Amino acid sequence: MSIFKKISTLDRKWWYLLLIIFVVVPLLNPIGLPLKVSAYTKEAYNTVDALKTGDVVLVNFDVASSGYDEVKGSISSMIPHLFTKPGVKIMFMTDQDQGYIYIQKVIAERGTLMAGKTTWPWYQLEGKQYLVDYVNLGYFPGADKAIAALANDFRGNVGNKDFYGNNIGQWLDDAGVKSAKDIDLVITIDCGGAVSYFVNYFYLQYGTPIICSMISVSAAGAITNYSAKQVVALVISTRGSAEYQYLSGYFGEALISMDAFSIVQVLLVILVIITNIAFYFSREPPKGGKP
Amino acid sequence: MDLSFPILILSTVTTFGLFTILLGEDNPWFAFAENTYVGVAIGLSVVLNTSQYLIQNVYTKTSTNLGANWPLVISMVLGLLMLTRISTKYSYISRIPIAVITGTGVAVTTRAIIFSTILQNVAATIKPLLNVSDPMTLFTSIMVLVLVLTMLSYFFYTVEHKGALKTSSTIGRYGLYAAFGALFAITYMGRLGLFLGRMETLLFPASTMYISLFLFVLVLATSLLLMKKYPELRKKLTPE
Repeated sequence: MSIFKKISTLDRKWWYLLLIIFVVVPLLNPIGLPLKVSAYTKEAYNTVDALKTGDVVLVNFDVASSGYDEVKGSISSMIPHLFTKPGVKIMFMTDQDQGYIYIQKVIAERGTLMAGKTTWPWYQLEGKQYLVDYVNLGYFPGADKAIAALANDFRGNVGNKDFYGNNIGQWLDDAGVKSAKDIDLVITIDCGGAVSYFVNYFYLQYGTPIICSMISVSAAGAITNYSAKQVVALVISTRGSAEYQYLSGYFGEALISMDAFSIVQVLLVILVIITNIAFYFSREPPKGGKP
Repeated sequence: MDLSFPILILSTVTTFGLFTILLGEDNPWFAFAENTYVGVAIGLSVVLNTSQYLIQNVYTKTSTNLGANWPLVISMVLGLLMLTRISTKYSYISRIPIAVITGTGVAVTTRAIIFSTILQNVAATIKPLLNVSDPMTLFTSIMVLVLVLTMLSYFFYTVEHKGALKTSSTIGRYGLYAAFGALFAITYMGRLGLFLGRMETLLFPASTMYISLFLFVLVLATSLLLMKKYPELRKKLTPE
């Protein structure tokens, strides 16, 4: 059997093993390949960094376990970076039933319990305290219809209770949130397609700037939104997350994985070339015709 | 009570359990992980929608001020009508809430989508040509415009593709090939990102790595053993 035939008929388990080796070795022994920050991520960082006292930010966690590992790097760097901005009020919400888990996770991992408190939601992060500087509005089912409803009547649809049942009416009044147009920035962490809802109902109605951190399969659509200036900045997948971690100084998992990421990408390109050559030279000639 | 250790074990076993499908056959580990995931996801969804929407939103609002929140009662009735789908005799009633959802969905979306996905994207395709900052931007803008037009011409099905239209649609077709290639690459990048993220969770810190390694060997060895030596037992332990 020729080498080409062997390659094209090799049990796929060996390819999986090769992939695991190329992932695990660079993860355990990072070599520090250079990382170039894209304009998309730079703009995301600059937009968050330019927030000033009195600004209100709505952070939507369109996050589910199926895509969390791709956006966790941007969550664990962008959210703490946002929390460092003095005087900025932050409202979390989620349009996915699993989203609240990840809101709690990032705040618990990066923050600490407030003095005298023992449980949720009383955590502080970068000096910002719950019900003083930030709140969790909770879960809004209904996808685009829910976001459209929030844009039309924000206070009416949010009500006066947060996710945990605390009264947030006064907090919203103090933050100056009377309607959706009082929101100065929307950040949406997307594993679904929530960015299009915010473009349709927040950007088009009020011109609200939107930053989107998304999984890579949504990137093509989001770049179209970015080109049409409907979205001010993008943080694309693990690569964008690593860039944001680098810019913000909140180093973490995405930055660590970049070496493995680059090496496996090169491996894939080599495998695509080799296996196509192998396939070409090991083709069986069709019966009664030229190969 | 600190549950981090059992959570670590469970998440590691379910991860490796799901990966065992790569061995080519169903096995008890995969079945356990798959069913656990589906069960937990549905359970969470039911609990959250009940507590956050039905109780905290609908019940609280209607019980405190029914006059101002009467539309919620209609939405509840429509929601209940959806449950008639489980009956073959009355399932036709569920078409009423489906019609309402479809109607409102289309109406709500259409008013925005014309601007966001058509008009503003058309403007974004043309505008850069009028505001060129450097040769590379000009090249990219021209390429985008040419490919948009040629790809659209590829989808002219009512006219025979010959002459200029054939050339245009051929360019459009090659543009589509490039786009599909890019989309495949970006999808692969995403899957790799997910895999890397999961591997990091299993490898760091070092104490986690040893537990992961042990569980990896355990899951892999038992799966292979069941596949190669005890196929009947594997079938018995794996639900359909």
